[in-house]
Amino acid sequence: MYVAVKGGERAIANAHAWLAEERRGDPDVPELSIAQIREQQRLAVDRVMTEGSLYDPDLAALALKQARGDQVEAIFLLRAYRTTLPRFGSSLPLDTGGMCVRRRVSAIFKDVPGGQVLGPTFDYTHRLLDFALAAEGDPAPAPRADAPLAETLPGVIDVLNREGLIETEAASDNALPPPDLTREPLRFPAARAMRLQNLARGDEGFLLALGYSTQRGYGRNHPFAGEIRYGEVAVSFVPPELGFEIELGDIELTECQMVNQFAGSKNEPPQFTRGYGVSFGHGERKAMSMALVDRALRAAELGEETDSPAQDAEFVLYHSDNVEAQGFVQHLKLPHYVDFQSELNVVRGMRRAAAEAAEAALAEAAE
Amino acid sequence: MDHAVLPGFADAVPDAQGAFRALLEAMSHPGRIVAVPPALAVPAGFDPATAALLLTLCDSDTPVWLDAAAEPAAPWLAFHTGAPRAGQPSAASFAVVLSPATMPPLDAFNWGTDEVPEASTTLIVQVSRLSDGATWRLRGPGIKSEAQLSVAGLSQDWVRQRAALPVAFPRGVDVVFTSGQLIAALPRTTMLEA
Amino acid sequence: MNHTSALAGEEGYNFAFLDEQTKRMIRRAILKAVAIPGHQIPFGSREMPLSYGWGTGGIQLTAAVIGRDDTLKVIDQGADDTTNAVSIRGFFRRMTGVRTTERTDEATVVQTRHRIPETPLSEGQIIVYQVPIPEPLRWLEPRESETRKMHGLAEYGAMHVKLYEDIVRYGRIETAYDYPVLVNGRYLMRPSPIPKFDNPKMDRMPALQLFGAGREKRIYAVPPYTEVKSLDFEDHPFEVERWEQSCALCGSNDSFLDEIVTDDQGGHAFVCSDTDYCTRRRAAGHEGEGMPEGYLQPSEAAEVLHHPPSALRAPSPSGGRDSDLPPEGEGGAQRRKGDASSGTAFRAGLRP
Repeated sequence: MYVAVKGGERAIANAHAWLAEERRGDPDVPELSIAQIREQQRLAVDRVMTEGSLYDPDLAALALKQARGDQVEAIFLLRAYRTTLPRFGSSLPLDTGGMCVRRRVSAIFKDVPGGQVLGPTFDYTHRLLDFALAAEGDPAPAPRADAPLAETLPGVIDVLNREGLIETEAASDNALPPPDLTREPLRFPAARAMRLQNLARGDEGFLLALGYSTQRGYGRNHPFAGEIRYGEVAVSFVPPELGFEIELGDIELTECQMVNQFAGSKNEPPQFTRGYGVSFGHGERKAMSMALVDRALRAAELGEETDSPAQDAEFVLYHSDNVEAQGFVQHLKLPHYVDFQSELNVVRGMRRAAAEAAEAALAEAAE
Repeated sequence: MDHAVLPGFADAVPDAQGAFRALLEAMSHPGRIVAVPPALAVPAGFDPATAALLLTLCDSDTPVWLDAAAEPAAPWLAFHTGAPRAGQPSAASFAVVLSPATMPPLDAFNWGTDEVPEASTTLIVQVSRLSDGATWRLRGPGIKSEAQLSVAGLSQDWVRQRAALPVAFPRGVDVVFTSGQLIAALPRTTMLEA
Repeated sequence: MNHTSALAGEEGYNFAFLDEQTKRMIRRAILKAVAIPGHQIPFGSREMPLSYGWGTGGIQLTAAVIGRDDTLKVIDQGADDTTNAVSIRGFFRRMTGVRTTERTDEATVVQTRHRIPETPLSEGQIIVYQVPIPEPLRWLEPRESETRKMHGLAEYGAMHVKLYEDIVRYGRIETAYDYPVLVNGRYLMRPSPIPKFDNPKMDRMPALQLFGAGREKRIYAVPPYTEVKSLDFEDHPFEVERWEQSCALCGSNDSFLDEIVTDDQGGHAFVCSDTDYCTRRRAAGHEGEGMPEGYLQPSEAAEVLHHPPSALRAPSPSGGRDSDLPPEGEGGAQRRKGDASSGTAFRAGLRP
């Protein structure tokens, strides 16, 4: 028989077995545990949780282990698992003003109430490979502060906005459930809540490049890092059957509020506007990029020109999702030989027609 | 009787799938009379097919409008599907009509728009009798050449409204008739000649 | 509210993977799609455990439609044995336990990518197309907000202009696949990337045709016996491609043929893209001219494949995933020369 269906099934099974071997690597090297990944590859775990839209460090670590460290593959695994979970409802809006802060910096004031809190950051590390890390060993304990930080640090922007120079965000209507991109398709024009949800799930690299493009003049919006904070926030939920608020637990979160110049419009006096970014865990690059793109996508509502890629909502929101994008890019390796055959037929036909036409022209010229 | 305590489908997954396939067959072949398989306890006044379609199609995303005769089944519907009630026929994803002779005119329901024709209401109209006798001649997508359908209990005026519907395409409403365990559908594309 | 039960599918998952609320949402979209032939219905496409672009739209449609009495056939490029078809068929076997088949006439549901079977489909069957880009106007207008308006107004002049530009430039319409059609005289529709050879099969097809685009989150449909017209012009009527050759295996001269490269000297042969059709014809005694001398057929090739030496293999993981492991020891040592071609896909999984 010409086809070997069983062969196909066996090849797939064999490929999976081989993949599992490759994932494990040299069996003489001790295997990674989920706890090791969760604790020691924490930023990778955080990104997988953010773009996977699921806060579960253990599952994200498992996904990273299964994906051999490939972030997009791990995000895909987490998302596919997330789809199978029942949806009980939406939490109350997070109060990031009540965050138990580990890091909080503002670039727009020298000092802010509660102080600048540097926290665990790469920012001022000299990027010199630390060969001491190649030998295993615990770091020296970090010095402790004499006094604890204030329980909560109020948001810089709100505290300092007495003059009304910065736009005030209107609270959304809590009676309406927030949109859920994982259950309803994106439609345009997309409201800001929908856009922010898309960006929060969006690929960090894509948003980084787009945010960067706005800084280089493609939709410039004069950003200042108003505040970046990272720490723990409580998640609360009101079960319909109870009717009152209960706290589900704390999650780690990074939040960025960009402050952007705005020249004013017919209806609005000149003032500062905001761009907002957020990520699970510690993800400043993602949160900052997101805030830049969020602000860029507000160009239309603020009456600004919208001719740059980062300001084009359909362009940005339809291409931000790396699980969608990787699938469609990589589907090109699926067989396409039927379509290719059709193209072959067309091209051969066109070449034949062109050759005949050239021959006829030659014969005519010879007469 | 307390509707809420009536059970829903005996086996939710295969029963809903079976009822859906029956409805899909009916919608794909307008005028064809199809049996909806699952047996279930129904609220007073409801035929089994009517109840089965509601359990198959409705949930918290689909506002349902009930006519006065269907009204007493509201707690049953809410308990089993969580579907919100539509105050107006025009706000309904699904409309349940147990008194076809006095039902609201077709244009009281949502016809969608040219850009979003799928926003329309689907009517579930329970009638006393469905047969493939020659009251109506039907043509259009899903019909090889011509189909026939006879539906009891509709007003002449309603039939006139329905006959005029295809002019509005892609706007319009899709109608499913139920009777006992049987259903037959008239999607908006079907041209009806009385 | 509604309890869910697995029928015979994977433990821990609902029958056919999707939860019942998702199935209801997709079923409602399917019904609307049938009622408005050719119109794309946005739906809340779920994140499936298979990649976007690899048939997630078709998979969701099949999952919403399929029941335990169904018999499923899955093809890719017309063939039951292509890796992605094998993978999707395996997914449904695992998640539903339904019967699967390679026979077009036995299937109640056929999920396909890029082909319509040569064996005519009949009433009661459902064909589910996997669609990458559902919007026929997408290359003319990238914006969803604009194309939606164009469909609302049936404003399709731009597509005719595009096709006519082809005629002016090349003397013919150069679109070879995913050739646009008008459904029931109203909606412009992409037939998914089937070769235009298959377009005439869509017209007044007795089976129900469902189209699913997972990544683009659209469902559309063509009910049975519905007019599906490939766009053309009076002076340039629509025509399908023909081959001078016939199938080397079954001799068919009216089916879609795949060109197979048989050696590294430019030799090639043509065989049916529809493997079931070809197999049936040969079973009925039809014969082609045969494959070129020395050509090793994939089934034979599979026999001589090399298996990883056990010393290199990791210890068998205990518990859980044994069903995914390959059967033990196929033996053999070297790939024979001259076994190139479509068999490659099957060998990809083997470690040299």
